[in-house]
Formats: sequence, structure tokens, C-alpha cells
Amino acid sequence: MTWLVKMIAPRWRYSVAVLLLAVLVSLVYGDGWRFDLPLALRNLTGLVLFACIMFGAGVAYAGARLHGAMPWQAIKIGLLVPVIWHLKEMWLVIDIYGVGPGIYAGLQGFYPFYYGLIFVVMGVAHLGCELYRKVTASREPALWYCGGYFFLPLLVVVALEVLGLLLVGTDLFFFEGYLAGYRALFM
Amino acid sequence: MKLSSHHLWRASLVLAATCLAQLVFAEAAQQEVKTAETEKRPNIVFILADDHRWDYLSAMGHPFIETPNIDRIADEGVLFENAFVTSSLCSPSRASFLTGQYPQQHGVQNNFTPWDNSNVTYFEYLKQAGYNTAFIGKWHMPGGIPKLRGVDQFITFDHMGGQGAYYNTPYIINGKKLKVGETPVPGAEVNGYITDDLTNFTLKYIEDNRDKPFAIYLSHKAVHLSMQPDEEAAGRYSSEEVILPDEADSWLSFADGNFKHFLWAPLEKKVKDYAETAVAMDQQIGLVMDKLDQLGLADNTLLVYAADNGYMWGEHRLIDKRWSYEESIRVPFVVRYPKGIKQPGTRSEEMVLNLDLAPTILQIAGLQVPGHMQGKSLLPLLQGDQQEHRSAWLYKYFEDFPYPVPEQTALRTKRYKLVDYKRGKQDELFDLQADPREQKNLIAEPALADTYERLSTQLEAMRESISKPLAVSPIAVEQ
Repeated sequence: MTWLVKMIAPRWRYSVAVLLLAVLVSLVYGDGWRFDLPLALRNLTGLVLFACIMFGAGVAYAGARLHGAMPWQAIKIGLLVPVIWHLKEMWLVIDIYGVGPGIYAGLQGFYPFYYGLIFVVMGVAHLGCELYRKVTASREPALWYCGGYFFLPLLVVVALEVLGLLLVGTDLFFFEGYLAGYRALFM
Repeated sequence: MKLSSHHLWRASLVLAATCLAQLVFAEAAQQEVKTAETEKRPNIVFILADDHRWDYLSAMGHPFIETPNIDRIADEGVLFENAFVTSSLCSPSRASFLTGQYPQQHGVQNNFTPWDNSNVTYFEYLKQAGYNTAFIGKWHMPGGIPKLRGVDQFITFDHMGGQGAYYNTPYIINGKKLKVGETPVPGAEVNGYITDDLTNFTLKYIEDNRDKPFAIYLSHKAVHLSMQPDEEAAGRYSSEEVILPDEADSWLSFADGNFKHFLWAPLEKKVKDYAETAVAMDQQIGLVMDKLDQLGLADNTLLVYAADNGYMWGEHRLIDKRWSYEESIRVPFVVRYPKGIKQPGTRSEEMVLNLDLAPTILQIAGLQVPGHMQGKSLLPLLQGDQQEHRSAWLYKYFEDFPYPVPEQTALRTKRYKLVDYKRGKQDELFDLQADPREQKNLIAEPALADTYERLSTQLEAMRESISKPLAVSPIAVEQ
């Protein structure tokens, strides 16, 4: 076990730990019923899995920063679980509709919105890191003073959606606009 | 006797007058007979729900849902316990109810393939036979709102891509778009909750057309997502315990693409919302029945309640329709027709389909069922005929991007179901008698190799036969 831990760079350890936890609980969550595992346990694993997908990026970001990663590196590390989950979602569609539509499926509004949320989660983790730096009176200078950058992706996605509704009268990312794009590209 | 020209002239006049009188009286008499015939035709009220699965009725033994009015239709009519749709998705199924055809014929195969205006609905025949006709409610087929031939009053909506919203949906009447809160029918109240509004329009239509034969297609949004009950029904089942299928769990609505259905709540909570929305709809169905009673029309009215598809609540770890599993393809189908049903309260185990609606309506209206309709009239079953209605039928789901459900064709017999997936999943064979929940795939079972071969051959033959082009005649013919 120790050699396994040593193989993983310290900055990546939290991210990989979240990933392994997500894989483990998804096995229990998805197939536990076949082994008559109690519903309460399966529900619990479902919650943990959800937490890994939604908040794991924050843990991974903070873990990377605490091990000396720069913010951009920490963001990259934090995105490990979200990207793998996203690829898994796309694979479900690729398996049925083929590669092109599968990739397009990965662009549906849920996913940009999800990434927007993930950046917000990492932004919260970033603020936590900055607070930790202040509290511990670290000699290192603040890397980013403005954690607000992390809110930009979500703002952009929401703004585009709202603009689409106001200007064109239809949603761009979720259904009508999105499916119109599908028709234009693949039908 | 010698007749003068004067006498001849008078005799001719008398003869001509007599002939003329005979002609006039004969025509009047004929008109009278025709009017009487027209008046004798039964009224038709078809109520269609959205996504209401077959067992969410108190009449089907559901542990807590209360649907006294749908139950009443069953008590006074026939409940078909094995009713199915040939494609479990709103648009294709709705087109099948209207045309009596498989999606392979009418062309509405998913949420992308548009309704073809050359499709002939049962309304066209009824109109020719003298009916007053109304389509009230959800149309929701690709291609926008059509000019539906044979329909006098077409009240619908295109709000939210045709789905409508439970509250404050703006309506469209005969192509004219109205504002939110504006009624399409003077005298019919719009209170904002869509199930109530559509019912109000229906009640007014019945009142206004009580003296003529009428055909109404009342197409509810309920109980589709977002499964929002009215204030009266909301919270009714909050203290009930929901028992999920063994393979399901509370968070399934977030897993494996299910989150795209926007059910973002614990599954038990959404099941209760669904049940409460159905109860709110049932209450409104009661008002339609009361109106028919008040006006003395019930005896001569064919009343049908059905749904466009079922819904899976965690069975196979799925939350959706689309799939060929039982919970997805089975629908409630209840018929009341006091004049034509021999034994009210009957439960039929025969396999009936959404395609059967149109032929049933036409036959009961006294018209011949056109050859292009692929369904079979249920009238013999309603009259107590014990013969088998059908021994097998074909299910088909066409891909509907971006939902991760593979294209599939299934043959459903009384005992077996064979599912042929186009890609992405192994084919399945289920023995529905031994395994009604379809948990054990027998496709590789050596003991069933012959059965598999037989069903496979039958599936291919049916796939071919139902897709053959059919000549459509829009001319109504009396029986």
C-alpha cells in the first residue's frame, strides 16, 4: 500500500483518493441490491457518491494546494473526478448513438452547468486555502486574492442561457436550442 | 266516358301535385330518419393521461393511491388489465391513438419525426358522420400544432415545447394563441391549474353540444413531469410509506443519466407527487362523469380512459418510459359504454393496444373500420365475446436523442417477451408467467432455444408485415 501511495505525487493524492472512493461506493451503490445489501446502506453510498462527484473537486483542489500546487495546477487536479464522471456519461450515449452524437450529448446544458458548479466548489476551497494561509500566518504570499474568478464559468453559462431566452425565446443548452443543434448536425 | 281537355288538364294537375307532395314528404321523412340516426349515434369522450402507469389505480390494488372516478368507470364498464402501447413515448403513442396505426405507419417515431398532415385520424370519419368534434389538451408531437382535419374545436398549447406547465399555460384555440389566463372558450373558467382548465373546457363543450353527437379527446398533461398536484391534493400522501422495487434506492433519480428527467428529489417523494397528481386528475375526471350524468348523456356515451405510456419507478434501476419493460409499456385502459357493455364491472385479461382505440370508436359510432387501421375494435370484448383478441404484438422504441436508451423491438405474447436491441445491450427473453418482473434473462437458456427461434421468426414476420405501406381512405363508410 505504501508503495502505491508513494507512486502518486502528493499533490494528486486527495484527488486520487476521491476517485477511488467514488469507484468503490459506485460499485456498492449500483450493485449492492444484488447482494441484498440493506437499502439504508445503499442510500448512504449513493450520498457519498454524489458528494464525491459534486464536492470531490473542492477536496482535491484544497489537497493539491496544501501540497504546494499553484491554483491552475490545483484546478487541473480538482477536475479529475468531474471529467471522469463526464466521460462516463458521454460513454452511455456513445454506446448507443455513436461518437459524434455522444460528444454532443456531453455538451448538453447539464454538463456546462455542472462544471460551473464545480468551479464554484473549487472557489470555496480556494477561499478556505487563503483563509488557512492567513490563520497560519504563512510566509508565502497570497497567490490569488480574488476567489471570485471561480464563479465566472457558472455566470457565463447562466448568462448565455438567460440571453438565449431573452433574445431568441428559447433555451440554448438544455432542450429546444440544444436539440435544434442536434437536428442541424446529425439529422 | 269522354274526357274533355279541361278534365284532362285538371287530372294532370292533381297528379302532379300528388307527386310533388309525395316527393316533399318522402324527403322530409328521409331527413327525419337521417336526423334520428345521427341523434342515436353515441357520444365519445376519450380521456388520455400522460405517463400514467397501469397499476397506479386503486382499482389495480395500489397500496395508497385513490382513484375513485377511474375506478367507477371500471365498475360500470370494462377494465383491460393487459393494455399496452406499441411505443412507449408520448408522441408516437398519441399518434397511434389517433390513427389506429403503428408508428412505423404514421411516422411519428420519436420526438424528432414530425406529424404528417396526410395522416388520417378517427376525427375525420366522425366528422363526416355528423359528429361535433373537439380536441382539448396536450398535442405534443414534433412539427408544431397542425391543422387537424375533422376537428371543430382544437384547444391546445405549445408552451414549453408543447409540454405545457402545470400552472399558467397559455392556450391556443384553432391556431389562435391566447395570453396566460385568457380562456379559449367563453364561459369556461381558467383557474391556472392545467388539469382543471382542460376539464372546464371539456365540460363547457359537453354542455354546448348536448343535443348533437359529439366526440371529445381530452388530453391531460398530468401526470407527466414535473408531477405537480393541485393545492387540494398536494401533501395527501406525505405520510404514506413508499416501497421501492428491490433494485431501486432513494437517490436513483440522480444516477446514470436519470437526472436528465429533472426528478431532483428522493424517489419516494416523487412517487408521492406522481400519485397526488393522478388523484388531482381523477377528481376532474369525476366532474366530466358528473356532467354526463346531469345532462342524461351517460347511457349513450362511450367513455374511455387511458394513458400514452407507463412509467418505471426504479424497476431495472430505471426511471423513465421508453424501455420495453412491463412498467413502461402497460397503461390503464378503462371503457364505459352502458349501451354496449353486457357485464359492467368486467375485467378483461386480453391484450389490447393503443391502436385499438380508433377502430373501437368508429365501430361504436356505426362506421366501418378502414383497412389501414392496424388496431382491432374492442367492441366484441365489450359485448362479452370470449374469443382471444390477439395472441402477440410488436413493440418498437426508436432512438430519442440524448436519452441513453437503445433502439429496441420486442415481441410480446401472453407468456413471453423477446427484446431485440439494435445495439448497446444484450437481447432479452423473459418468461412473464414465471418472472413477471423480468429479472431473469433467458436468452441463453438451452431449454428455451426452440422458443427463442419461434419467437424470433414471429418477431421478424411482424416487423415486416406492420411496416408494409397501406392505402388510406379518408372517406367514412357506414356499417
